[in-house]
Amino acid sequence: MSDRGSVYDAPDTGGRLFLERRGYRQRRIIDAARILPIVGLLLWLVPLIWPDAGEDGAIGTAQATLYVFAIWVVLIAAGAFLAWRMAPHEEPASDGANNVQGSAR
Amino acid sequence: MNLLIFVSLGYVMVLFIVAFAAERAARAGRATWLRSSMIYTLSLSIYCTAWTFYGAVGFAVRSGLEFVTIYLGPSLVMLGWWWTLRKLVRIGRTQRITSIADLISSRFGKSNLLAIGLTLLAVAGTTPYIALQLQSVTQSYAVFARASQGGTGEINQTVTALWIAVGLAFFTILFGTRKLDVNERHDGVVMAIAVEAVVKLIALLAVGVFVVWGLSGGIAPMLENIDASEIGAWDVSGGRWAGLTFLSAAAFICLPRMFHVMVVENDDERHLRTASWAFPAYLLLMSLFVLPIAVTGLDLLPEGSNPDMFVLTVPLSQGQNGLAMLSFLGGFSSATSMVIVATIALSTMVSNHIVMPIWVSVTGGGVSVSGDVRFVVLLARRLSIGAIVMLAYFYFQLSGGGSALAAMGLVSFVGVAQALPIMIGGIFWRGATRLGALCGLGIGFAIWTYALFLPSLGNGLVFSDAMLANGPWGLEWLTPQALFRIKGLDPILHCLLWSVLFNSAAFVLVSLCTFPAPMERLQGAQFVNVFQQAQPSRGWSQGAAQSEDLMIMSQRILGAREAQALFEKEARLQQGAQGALPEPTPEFLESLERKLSGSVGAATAHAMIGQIAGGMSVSVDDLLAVADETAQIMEYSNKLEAQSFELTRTAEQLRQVNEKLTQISVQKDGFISQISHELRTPMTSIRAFSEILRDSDDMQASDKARYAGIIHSETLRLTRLLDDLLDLAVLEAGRVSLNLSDKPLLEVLENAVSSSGVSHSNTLQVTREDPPAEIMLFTDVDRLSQVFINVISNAVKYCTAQEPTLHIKSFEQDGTVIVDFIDNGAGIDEDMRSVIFEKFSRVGETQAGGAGLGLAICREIMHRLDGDISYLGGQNGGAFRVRFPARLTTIQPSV
Repeated sequence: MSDRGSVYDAPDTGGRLFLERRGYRQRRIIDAARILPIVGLLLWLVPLIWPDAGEDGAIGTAQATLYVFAIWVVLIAAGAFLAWRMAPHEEPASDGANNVQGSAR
Repeated sequence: MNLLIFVSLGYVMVLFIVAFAAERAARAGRATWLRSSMIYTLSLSIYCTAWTFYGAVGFAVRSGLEFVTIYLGPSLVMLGWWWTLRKLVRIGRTQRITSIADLISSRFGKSNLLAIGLTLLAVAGTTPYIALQLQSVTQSYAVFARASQGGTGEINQTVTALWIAVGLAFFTILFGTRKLDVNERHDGVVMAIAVEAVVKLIALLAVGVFVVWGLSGGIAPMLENIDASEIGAWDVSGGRWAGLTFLSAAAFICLPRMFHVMVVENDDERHLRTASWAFPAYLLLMSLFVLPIAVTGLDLLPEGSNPDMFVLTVPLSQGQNGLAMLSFLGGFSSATSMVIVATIALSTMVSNHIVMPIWVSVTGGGVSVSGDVRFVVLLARRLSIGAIVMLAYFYFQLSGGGSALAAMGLVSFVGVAQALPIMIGGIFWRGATRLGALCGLGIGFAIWTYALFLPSLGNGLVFSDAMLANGPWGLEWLTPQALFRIKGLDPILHCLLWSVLFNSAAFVLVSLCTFPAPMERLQGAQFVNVFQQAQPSRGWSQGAAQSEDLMIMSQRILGAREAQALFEKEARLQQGAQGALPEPTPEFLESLERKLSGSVGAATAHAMIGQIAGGMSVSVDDLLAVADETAQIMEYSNKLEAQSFELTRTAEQLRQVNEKLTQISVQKDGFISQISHELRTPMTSIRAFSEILRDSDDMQASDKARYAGIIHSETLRLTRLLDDLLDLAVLEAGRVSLNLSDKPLLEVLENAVSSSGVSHSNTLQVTREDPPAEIMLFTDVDRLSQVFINVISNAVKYCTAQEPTLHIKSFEQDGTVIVDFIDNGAGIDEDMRSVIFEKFSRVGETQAGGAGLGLAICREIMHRLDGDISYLGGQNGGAFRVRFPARLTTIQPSV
């Protein structure tokens, strides 16, 4: 379990205050993954402030549908991108290798 | 009609084969592809039941775009997997969780009461939902029957539903309870529902594509159609939009069947990462064509058609029988997969949390009775599956399959959402307690039942119309669907708001006010910090458990072969040898309990091991582990501090002892040199005079007598010195025995004065301030007299005044007698006062010729008599104060 988990968790900082570049990048990807649903929720709550039928500038269901689905597509794409970036790459997980890779990027 | 039955049966056969093949592949170890991320994602699709397959279109016809909220919530949950799902899955894997009830019961100290509550909630929430599936399939069947036989082929819905129910129960029992797996995973079932997921997606997409491109002529005309239709105006209630999104998100996590596929059946946490975007994509595809189908149905079909069946009736009306058949299969798939997984999840809960605890308590555990526990568990599950499906069937009959059932989906959602606060609280908040969870769940459940479930059964069934309108006993604020007189709220939203609000409030408040049991705290720490700690810190106490008993019990639950393999492996780990049973170490018991809990649930496994192991499972170490990390660090630093303090103190003591030893050594050296000196002086004169006596023949008799007298007096002095030394040695060694007796203080003083020989001579004038005659002493009077005499004779020797006088003053104070001896001499210099009680210390070079032992002896005696002797300053002369208890009770040991 834990061997699977280790590649899956946020990189272990081992108590260090600053990470090398790769660990840092990984952290920010996780941050993005955390923020994504919040962004999605906010965007999907936008229809609540649209004017209702009969009011000025009322929006048709077709338009609303397009809006909701467009956001959906964007969220899925963003989620897939983050999942792909988060995936552990096939690299040896030794510290030295990490540092080399980190500086190479 | 017959074709339909044939197709259905054929489809079920295909599912059987798929499931069977998957099971075989899994057993043969070729199951890696079975456990891919894609299969996992597809298995999640049991969220989309027949209710969503058919009902979403109906929902869209009634409320427009609002139907999409049912999919938005789960999409957000999946996209936000890093927040919650990841943790849930990790906990589920490390703790071998078998159901949502198991999760919550485990978290709150393996409380079975909580598990029972959740099981009841789940059954109450899910049964109507299963009934809904039966209704959907039956209705779709009826639609087909009418269409294929020209509207005359009405079918008997009761019989159809019964057949469907029996068939579903059979399939579930066959694949859901084939084995009792330690991981509670069902490869066959998962594979089957993955296939069904594909079938229903294709079916809905096919109908959608037909509607958009076949009937409307493309996307743009379709959008125009939508805007032109009766649901074309944007008129969405904000409360419902947000509320339903929240509700579907909550239900997505809390629904027993979702929890089952998402957490229990999860094989690899990485699947979750793929599913995080793939499942929202699946949901998107499922909802993509709902609105077009709804609009087309409204357009094409006659007024009053059942919008819930548009997915089926639209293709039928266009003569697309093949498409309709596919659509029927899609709906059938949705229904069957939902029923199968839901009943597996529920039967696991029922058997683990209701049947097994009862069985364990009735039979008294797994050792004393014969028979296979596995058989009991499996039988319990099979019966539960049958019972749940039949319950749903009766519910379907009871409600008459009417429209009341259509609203059941959301009602169920609200019911299961009651588990959300305690679940989220349980995995993120260590302060959550069992009592809090019970209260929260109880209140939420009660409000849901009262405000939503019972009213939803239809007017007049449980609650009368009058009561629904005006509240019970005329209490308006208790009106089921308008609690606290807040009217006009959508019933779902109304109940959701109040139940979740009160549920969470009760949960948090009671948790804040109560204190968790040790087991709860341990489990809480393990759940909340599941990512931090690799190893569980809870343990069984060793010794009480018998390996033999454990082996017997494990065999009954895990099966003989697996149990033997497990024990053998452990024995090899422990002893490096095969054959013997392993020692029941706490670690072994721990892992065994996890294995068993995978089969019978955490609470039951805990109880069974507890019956054999006996010992309480919380040790002091565990309790330490319970303490906060900060507390641990503090404790550690406190320990360090205490240790270093201890070290400092020891070092200080050592230093003191060393100093004392050095001092004593110096004193000893001084003492020896003093002694030698004291002995040498008289010896010298004795030797000198005896030589004179020996060598001089012609000596006058008077000289002879004088020399002999000197020798004699020097010998006396030597003797006195040796006596004193001996006396001091005895006193210091504490070997002196005291002769205690009663005597008045007055008499002692008189004796002392007369013994010291001052009363007759005129060398010293003694004045006495006599003590009251009634002061009686109980002490060693002789020793006391010795001290007095010594002090008095000191005054005789050292008082340098012209007319020496000694004033003796005595009195008693709180049982302590104080005698002061004050002379009118020069007294003793300040800097000498501290040393006069030391051995061989003499003040000045006097003629008196004392060895300097007198006061040292006095001090020793007074110490033995529990008193002291000290020099009294400021008395215009030498003054000594002797202080001692009138009645000696405790004899002081030597210094």
